[in-house]
Amino acid sequence: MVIESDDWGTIRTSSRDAYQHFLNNGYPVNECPYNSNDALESDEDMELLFEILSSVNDKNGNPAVVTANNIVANPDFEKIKASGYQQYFFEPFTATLQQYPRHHRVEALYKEGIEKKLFMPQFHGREHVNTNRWLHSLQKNEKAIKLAFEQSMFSVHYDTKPVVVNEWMDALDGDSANALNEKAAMLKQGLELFHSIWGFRSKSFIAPCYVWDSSLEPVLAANGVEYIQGMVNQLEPIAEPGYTYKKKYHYQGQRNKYGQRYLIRNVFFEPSTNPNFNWVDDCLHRIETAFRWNKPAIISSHRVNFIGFINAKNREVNLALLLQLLQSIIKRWPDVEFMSSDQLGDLMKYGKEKSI
Amino acid sequence: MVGWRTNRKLIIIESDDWGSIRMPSKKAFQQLVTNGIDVKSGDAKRYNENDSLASKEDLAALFELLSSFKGSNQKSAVFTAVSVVANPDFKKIKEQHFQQYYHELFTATLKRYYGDNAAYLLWKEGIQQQVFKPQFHAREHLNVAEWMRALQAGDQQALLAFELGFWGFNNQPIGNSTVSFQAAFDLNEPNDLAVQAETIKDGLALFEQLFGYKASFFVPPNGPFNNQLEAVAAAAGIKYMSAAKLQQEPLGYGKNRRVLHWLGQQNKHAQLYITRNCFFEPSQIGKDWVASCLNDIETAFRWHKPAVISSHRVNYIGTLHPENRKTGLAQLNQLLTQITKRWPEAQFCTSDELGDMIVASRK
Repeated sequence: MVIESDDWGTIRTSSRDAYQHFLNNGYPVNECPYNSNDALESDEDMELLFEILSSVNDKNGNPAVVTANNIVANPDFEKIKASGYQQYFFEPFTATLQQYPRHHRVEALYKEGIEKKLFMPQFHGREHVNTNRWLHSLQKNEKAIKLAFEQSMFSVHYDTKPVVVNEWMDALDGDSANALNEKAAMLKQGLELFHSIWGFRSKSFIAPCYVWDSSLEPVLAANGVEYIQGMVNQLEPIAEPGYTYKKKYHYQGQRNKYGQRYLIRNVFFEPSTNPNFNWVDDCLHRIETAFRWNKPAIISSHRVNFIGFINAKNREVNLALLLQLLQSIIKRWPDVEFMSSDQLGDLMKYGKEKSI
Repeated sequence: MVGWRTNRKLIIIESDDWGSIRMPSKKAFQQLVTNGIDVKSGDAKRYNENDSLASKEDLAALFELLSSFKGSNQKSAVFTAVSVVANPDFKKIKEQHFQQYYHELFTATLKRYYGDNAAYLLWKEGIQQQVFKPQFHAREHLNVAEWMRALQAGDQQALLAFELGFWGFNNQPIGNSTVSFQAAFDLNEPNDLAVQAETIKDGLALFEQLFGYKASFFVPPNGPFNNQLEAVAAAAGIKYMSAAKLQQEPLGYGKNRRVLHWLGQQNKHAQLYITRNCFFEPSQIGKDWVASCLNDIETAFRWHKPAVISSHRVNYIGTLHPENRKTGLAQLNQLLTQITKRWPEAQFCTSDELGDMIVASRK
């Protein structure tokens, strides 16, 4: 059983005050679970998650582990502003952490989590923003985006029916062949940064918003990425303005021509996005299906579910659900094994289990 | 980590149910079975077969074993005896035609059962010898309001059990309530909260009368507990609350809220939570409890946490079946032998001492 959690390291809503500021200005940020709950992980967010993960053991005596898909950089707002919004600059996310009020031990906590097998960072992207589209809208002086920029954020939910589908989060989408071509260098740089922060290379990768061009796969392969996390469908951007994609189907353990394997999420634990749904039961049901077919259970659960920096209740409620889920899993499947995505990939690639 | 951590190897043994009746006698058990009352399904079986008021033999054997093990600080192994202070006064309740609830101190129950107060004197001796430290479980291990309603409604099973001085069977739902009579603070009818608050206040006062000190640690029986009652407990001197990591908080009418807890977590009444992370229930058959508990302890120490072991009274009672006590003590002996061998630096302490350590470390 694997828990894949995207977005660790990226900024989102910068503070409770920023959230309130948007609300006061008539932006319906309360309607978007990410706007109202997601933020750069704080010391307490990390510690509480570890508390839950360490409270259960699998048959090998290992605790539950979260594969923390890590955005390694955030925009350098000051420099971008100084360039008159003409140029994009970034900083390592570890520098961003130091600018946040309750985040000074996060980097050390990542390291502790790695050492104790509770938390395994993998590569999610250099930044979780589509730099071209974002700069373009800043240059056009779009009001909502400027307001977000002033709060050190790249996006905000500004319409009940958003015209900007992913609020500029789809980092690897592009409106032209040129724009798409730039992505390879960004990924390479991101992977280097990942290596320099954690001291090891990321063996797996998950694309922001599940959007990536297949031409990026050899670039990832050349930089050490052996496993590609994702959903059943990859969204391949079409090189034209707008949000048009070609859907490409993948299956669990499928190999591409670069020897990479696809890891497909088949269980979903996203209580922040819909608090009224019975996520625990649904997860148990999906895990049962996965195990019945002798497949791994790969649970998708974004960072937003575990963050209390903006709204403590979000974290409180969802961590209780996570604990309930984990306790139910070990009770129902005493022979369950917890692993991170890279370990599961290695098991597929080098393990003795029968190849699918 | 946010939960309290320590480099010390602390062993805390929390043992629930002391002072409560559970099964009055083997004869009562047989009569219940004969009358088709469910005393044998689920985990209730081992309790109804073996659990009863501790006799002086039970206590003496337990204390002897505990005092034979010393931690690295030369202090004995010790049970935090999570206790009730009273039981229903069946006679009076019946005299009043079930219209009113009455309780008797557990020392009075002891006298009824064993004809003297020798067992109570042993409790006091255990406290003095620091092998037995009573803390608060409830006034009685009984949901007074639910039970009284069942009796008043003429519930046949409840009445039959009543005649035998017993209530701990797997009771059938009454109306919309699925509350177990054993679960003192489970809540279906929200108005019962006031009754529950009263039993806490009264129970804590009785506790002080019985033992000469105020209880500072409170373990609500069976788990269900509405957190509004924390304020009542806090006002009466409870500094440390026990809760499962995932507490089911009953809100009434079958609604529950899940509340997350961790060791050292503080609530708004400045009370700290103590959560259990190790389990030792040798009277539950089908598991190597010594091995699994050692495993729990090892995990606790790996995360630099104290080992807070849950081990109910039932494991150490021999008044109904002497072999139950024999097995329980033999396994406890093995467990304590292994602990002191594997972790020579281990120290035994009580739950309230653990709470005090957490407080001190934060000053």
